[in-house]
Amino acid sequence: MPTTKTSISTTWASTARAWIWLCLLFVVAGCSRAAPKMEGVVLRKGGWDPAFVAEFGKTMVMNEGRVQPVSTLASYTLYAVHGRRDVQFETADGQTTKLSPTEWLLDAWCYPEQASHYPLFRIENVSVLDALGIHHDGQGQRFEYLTYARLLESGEKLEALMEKIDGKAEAQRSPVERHLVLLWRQLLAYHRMHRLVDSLQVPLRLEGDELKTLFGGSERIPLTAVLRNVGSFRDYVRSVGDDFAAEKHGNLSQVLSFLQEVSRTTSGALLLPPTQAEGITWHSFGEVLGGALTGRMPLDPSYVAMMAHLETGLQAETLGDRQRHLLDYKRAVEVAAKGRVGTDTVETEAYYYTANWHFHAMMTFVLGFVLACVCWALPKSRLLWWASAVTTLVGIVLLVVDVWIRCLVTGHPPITRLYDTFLFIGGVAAIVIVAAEFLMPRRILLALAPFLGALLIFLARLFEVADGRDTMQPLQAVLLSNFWLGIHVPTMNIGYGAGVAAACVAMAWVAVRALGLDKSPQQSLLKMLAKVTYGVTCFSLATGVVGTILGGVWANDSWGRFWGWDPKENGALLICLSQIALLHARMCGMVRDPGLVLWSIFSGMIVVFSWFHTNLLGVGLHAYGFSGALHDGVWISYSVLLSFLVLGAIDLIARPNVAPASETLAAAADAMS
Amino acid sequence: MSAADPVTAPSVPARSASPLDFVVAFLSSMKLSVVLVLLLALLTWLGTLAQMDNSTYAVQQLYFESWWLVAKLPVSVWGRHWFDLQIPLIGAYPVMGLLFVNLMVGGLVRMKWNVRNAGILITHLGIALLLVAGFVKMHYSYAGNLSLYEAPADGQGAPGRVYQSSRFVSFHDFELALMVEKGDQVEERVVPEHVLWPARLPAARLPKGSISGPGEVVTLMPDGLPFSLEIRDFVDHARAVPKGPRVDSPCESVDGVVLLPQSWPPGQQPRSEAEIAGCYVTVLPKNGAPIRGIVWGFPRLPFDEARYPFAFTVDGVRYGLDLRHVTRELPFAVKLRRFQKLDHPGTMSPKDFRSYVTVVDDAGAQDAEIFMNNPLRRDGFVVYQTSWGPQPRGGPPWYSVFEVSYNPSDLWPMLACFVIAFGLLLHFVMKLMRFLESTTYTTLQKE
Repeated sequence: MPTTKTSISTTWASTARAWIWLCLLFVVAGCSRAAPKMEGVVLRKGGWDPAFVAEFGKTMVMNEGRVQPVSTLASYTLYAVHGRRDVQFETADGQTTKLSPTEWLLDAWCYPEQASHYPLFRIENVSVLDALGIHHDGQGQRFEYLTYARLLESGEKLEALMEKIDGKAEAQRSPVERHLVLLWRQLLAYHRMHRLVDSLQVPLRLEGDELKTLFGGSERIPLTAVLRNVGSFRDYVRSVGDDFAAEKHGNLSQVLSFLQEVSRTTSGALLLPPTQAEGITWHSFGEVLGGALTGRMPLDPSYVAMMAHLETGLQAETLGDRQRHLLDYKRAVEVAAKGRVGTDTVETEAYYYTANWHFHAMMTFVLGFVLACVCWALPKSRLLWWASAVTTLVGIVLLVVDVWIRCLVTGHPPITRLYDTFLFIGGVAAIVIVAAEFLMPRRILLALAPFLGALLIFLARLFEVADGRDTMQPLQAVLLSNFWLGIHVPTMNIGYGAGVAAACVAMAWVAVRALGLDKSPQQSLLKMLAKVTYGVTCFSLATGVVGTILGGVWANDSWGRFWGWDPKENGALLICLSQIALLHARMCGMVRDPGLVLWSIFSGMIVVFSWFHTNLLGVGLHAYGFSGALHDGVWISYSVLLSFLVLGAIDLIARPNVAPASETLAAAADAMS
Repeated sequence: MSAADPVTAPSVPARSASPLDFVVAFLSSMKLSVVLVLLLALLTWLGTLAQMDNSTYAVQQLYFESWWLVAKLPVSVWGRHWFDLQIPLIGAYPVMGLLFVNLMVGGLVRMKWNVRNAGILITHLGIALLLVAGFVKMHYSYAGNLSLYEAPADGQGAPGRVYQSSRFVSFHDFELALMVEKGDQVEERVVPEHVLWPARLPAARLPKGSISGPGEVVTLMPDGLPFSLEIRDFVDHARAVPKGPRVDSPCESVDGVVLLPQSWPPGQQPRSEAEIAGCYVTVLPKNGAPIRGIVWGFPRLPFDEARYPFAFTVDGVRYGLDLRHVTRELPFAVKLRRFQKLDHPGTMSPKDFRSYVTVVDDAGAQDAEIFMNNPLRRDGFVVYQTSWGPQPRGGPPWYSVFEVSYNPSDLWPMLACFVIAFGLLLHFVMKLMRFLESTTYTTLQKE
């Protein structure tokens, strides 16, 4: 029957076209963003050399308990401060500049004045500006950006506000207060990064002849000159005694209080590798300076050389000189840190973030999805089916490579933080659905697999920036068991991933039915989707049950109880219970295909609850992934799943029968076509 | 449709059904399983949400170890709280009991014993084992704390510090001990906490959310002693403080000290193991004036085990009263030789903390290491590394905190896990094989 065939392919083709347009719209909307204005003057003549930026990005620092490349420090500081992956602004001469995190860090270190005028701190509510006493002309756009310089002017006011807000419980804070807390944290994050080197940014000014003679008669000396002459300087200070404020000693008292201030700055990243034989902990510049001045810590000559390179790099006249000296600094650190604990993965980590495999995986998935949509429009083409399937498989391989490199860097199995679960679950969901497509090739799953893969990588990237914390941070003691991390966590997350996949196939069922896309006789497409939902749910249950019990066995070895009714444990149990009930209900005929499908969507909501929402409750031993950025994500996921659930239910009640009038008629149609 | 293969057929017998048949059919029905599993899911969900403002221990007792309860559902959408719904429900205890019966009758005994069902039968067996393990754990296991100071190398211990002990104290349970001086010895008589519960303060006199009671006077008559005891104003979470003008307590002061009921600040999850009970006692001698006092169960470990009881003298004999955590004996003693804590470099967050201990019993002494994920299992007891001190600065002198638990079903869940994994894998593989051989698959592949 040729007419039926045409109508099938036109419906599918129009659906495919609608999808492609929608995607294009999103891409265009994402790209067209007006850059905010930069306020000050651009001091840096010319841009950083990309080769230099890549090389300098590999400089080792120790931050939050591990050695990492400076590019990682720059990225996560920028995410925390700015909430974006790059800094974009329009300078006074109308040129749009875009800086990578490392370039931004270099600007903040080498051209602090210029960098302090970058529009960075996002303000979404003018009441925040009012609270800080910053003048504004109402909200021009949906949000605007404050600069570090402007925010610093209101720093004291913000600090005073913080003291008041600190006394309030999280739940009792108003939106403006929460915004202020966020702003305060952003300011601190910027400050920490900025202060790492700020004592080295300008030369030390000397007054008084005795002081000047001590340092070769110059009026301005680099701070490292103090380190070089620390012995004679200390003797001089001792000889002065309590009399340091006297006029003949010039500005000695100022110099001393400055040095004391610098010595106290020991928080944040640590720039100097240990020099003792078995040393693991790195040192801050302040610690080394303070130790040398007081004589508590013997000064290692390599530190003086390292700091001198850095100092000259920060202060040199030309951009080329700065780059050269900063590279010298990088190499000096490398030589000193060679063979130390945790330094062997820094190259790999820098490579990991530059290569960005999961981004490529995401783009490959998008391509696979588009190909699958085109495949809907041209149902006869085997070539397109294979093209899309292979593209999706390539995407999966890229994602696996990404996760594998992460494992190499962290030295742990694939999942150690909430961030990892996005990538892992995205991969699992894509693999499960592709497998189903290969078993039952009906093209619809062909689109679903890359869609889910791309979506979850996209969410991972959103989460990474919104959270603004290093995703490879060292783990707390209880988690440091690669055996359990390697078997419990992946098993559990395969269960989650399959649960997500089942819910998505079920949503496809709802969409196909509601849009009337299944014109096949006997609704074979819908039946197939229901069957896949059932199969994937079985798989999810099997891994989920085993994973949950394994978790209990682990807990029994670490916390002294198999089961403690902790929120995360309960969440995992809830998924299992819902799926157990579903499978038994299906078996004894309490529900049929429609019930199975809607129930699977509901189970999907439970997966969201267990995966994220339990972390947001802020209680329990498992609450190590807390983040405010998740909150909206959780409720958006609930809403999407719930709307499909409601839509499916309405569709089923309104049109209980969409099947062809009788089996014989359908069979006849089948025979004729 | 292979999705709905009839695994069990709880068919109603054709002959006239006796009441027993009916009961068996009901207990073995798969519909009952569905209902029970859903009920358990509902309880689990509500019990999870309840932990936002109750301690895990309290929730566990109310939701998962009770026969029935009135559950609270906080209706909040997108972070905004609307109202609380009160839902009466049967507790997880009877639900899991029924589920066990249902599983045994319907999922094991009455299920068809054939190759096709082998995987499912094995899985059901594993789940049953898991439920039994939970039952045994709930009824026969107990746990507590053991804190020890690092023993000094020279053997010269500081007075008042515990370096070796075979006693551990319960996390939650209190007892009231009466000590009678008998020459060089002390005789102890112990009353468990629940005897004192009728003396709990009424809700009106306590902070919101506290455990309350009728506020009665509990009278204790020690056998053969020349006095009786009256217990008043029992508070589960209290602090004994000097009575000052700014101390606002519903209780009265005794010798300038008052019992002050405590509550957890909003937004903070209560930790019931950190709550300390206290109450007022009045000693009524047969001849003589009443003596009043306060007993408060402040734990002193890892310091001297010698307690500081409320002491009084009647007819020339000295007595002591002490409210304390229930103390239990281990069949061996643990001595902390060395404690070691490693931080992630440049931070305060611990990467590893472990205790080097010596276990001493009649047979001799043995060295062992206890750290995270590596407990010491011995004589049916398990000793875990849980914490360290003094926090946050650390030692020396260091002390180490262990959790000690006695659980006969300790390793059963691991066994159950193997059984279930094997059963599910078997079933999954068999099902996949059947599907690949089925016509559905072959026709789909041809399309």
